[in-house]
Amino acid sequence: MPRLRPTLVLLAALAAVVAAGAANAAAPAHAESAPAPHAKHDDHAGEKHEKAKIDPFAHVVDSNHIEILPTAGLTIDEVEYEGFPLKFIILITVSALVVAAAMIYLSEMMRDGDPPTGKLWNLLESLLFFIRDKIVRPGVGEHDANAYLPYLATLFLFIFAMNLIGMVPFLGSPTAAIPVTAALAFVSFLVIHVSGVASNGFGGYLKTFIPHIELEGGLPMKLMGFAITFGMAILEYATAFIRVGVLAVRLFANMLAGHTVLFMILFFIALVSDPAYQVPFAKENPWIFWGVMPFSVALVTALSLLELFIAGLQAFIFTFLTAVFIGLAKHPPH
Amino acid sequence: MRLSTSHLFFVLAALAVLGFADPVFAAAHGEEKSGLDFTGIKRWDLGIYTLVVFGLLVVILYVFAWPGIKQGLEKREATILGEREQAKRDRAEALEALTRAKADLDAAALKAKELLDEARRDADALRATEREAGVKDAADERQRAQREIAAAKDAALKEIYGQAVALAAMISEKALQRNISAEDHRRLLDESIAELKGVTSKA
Repeated sequence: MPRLRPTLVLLAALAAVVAAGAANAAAPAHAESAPAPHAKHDDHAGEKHEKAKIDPFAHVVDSNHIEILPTAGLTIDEVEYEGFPLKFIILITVSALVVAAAMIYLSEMMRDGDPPTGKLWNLLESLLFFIRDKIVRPGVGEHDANAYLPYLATLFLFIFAMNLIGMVPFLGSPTAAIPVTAALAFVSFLVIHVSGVASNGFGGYLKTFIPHIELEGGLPMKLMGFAITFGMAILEYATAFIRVGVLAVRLFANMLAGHTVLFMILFFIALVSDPAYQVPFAKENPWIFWGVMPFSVALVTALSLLELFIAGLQAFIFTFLTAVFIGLAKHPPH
Repeated sequence: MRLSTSHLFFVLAALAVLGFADPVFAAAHGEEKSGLDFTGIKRWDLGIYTLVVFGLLVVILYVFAWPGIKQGLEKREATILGEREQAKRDRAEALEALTRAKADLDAAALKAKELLDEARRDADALRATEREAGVKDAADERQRAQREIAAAKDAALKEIYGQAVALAAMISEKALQRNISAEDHRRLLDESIAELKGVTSKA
């Protein structure tokens, strides 16, 4: 079945990477004195072993070290500048450089107007046209699509690259940190509302948030109408901020949760093999390791494939909603 | 500057939003460790760095990537439009050629029909002429045959007459036991012929 070969190779590679991680996690089982990296220990009198606190986010959040294979001593420490961890900063920079290199390459290839040839050129051009045809044009509208394509395409590719870089086991996804997603949402906020003001004027744009409610009757009815209008206007103005806030939180939460789930499923192996975390049942039945380890590896492999999809999906959602909000700001519904 | 109702709504709503958001900001700026540490909410440096990098990326792509992509797309669009126009012209020409060919074909069909009709008419005329000639030839042939038959009949009759005369003479000689003269012969012959003619005419 020649068609399945690339998929099988990908799956095998993924499984190998995950198995390496699993072996790495399982290794301290035979090293009594080796504490888990970044484990936080609590001293409890009367307990045989020092019990370690499980920190599911330790491997997902920003830090000043990059653990490739810590038990083999393959760890890069003190990745920091004056106390500020640089891991995510490096990953953000790498993502931006990758996007810049890819788009400049695509620009050079397309400049002459020739039809695309080669896998990379076709891939990048397909991605660009996907952003244009499935995100920008439906969201912003045909008329303004070309004006917003550069910003929205850059946004999509930057988020996508940052999401994907988190799939490398010993790295992390910068989008799993709220300041990163909040910064991108802030830029979207500015673009959305500046576009709205540019199209409708400042006063006109502010008026688009106020609903038109007219209640017939005497003074009490008019007052009620005013109160409802006022309340709804507050909600509408709040929505302008909430929308982008939700953009930031959605992306951050999805990426953090995805990577945390992957970590926790792999952590099952440590729970049955590492003395620092081992559950009593696993101490009495060490063979359980051989049941849990393949299960964890298989599940993490499958979920990693799902995470690859989510990396694209979340970039799509963030960018598409930004495009829709720009469209709504420019052409408010009446 | 006139303060409109919409401005008033905006200011009030902004104040309300800030009021809701205040506890979050307060937590974010608090020095004590909170349960939200895993979100990296206090990492303002990361946010600022993201803004700077993203801004730079947008600018770099605006300068180095999008003009080339735009230029390429415009060229491709021009090529496609040009080829489309050329295809339209080719189509129009082909339609025109098809119309001409159809007209030629119709004319040729008409001509062929005319030729066929003419040939049919000629054939009919020829057939009529031939028939008339055949009928005339047949009539002539019949007349000639009739004449020949009549001549043959006369010759045959003459021969029969001669034979009859000779036979009669021989019979007469035997019957008369003597030779008869030539004069007798002739007289007897004439009588026999006369009788014979009488018999044949009756028949």
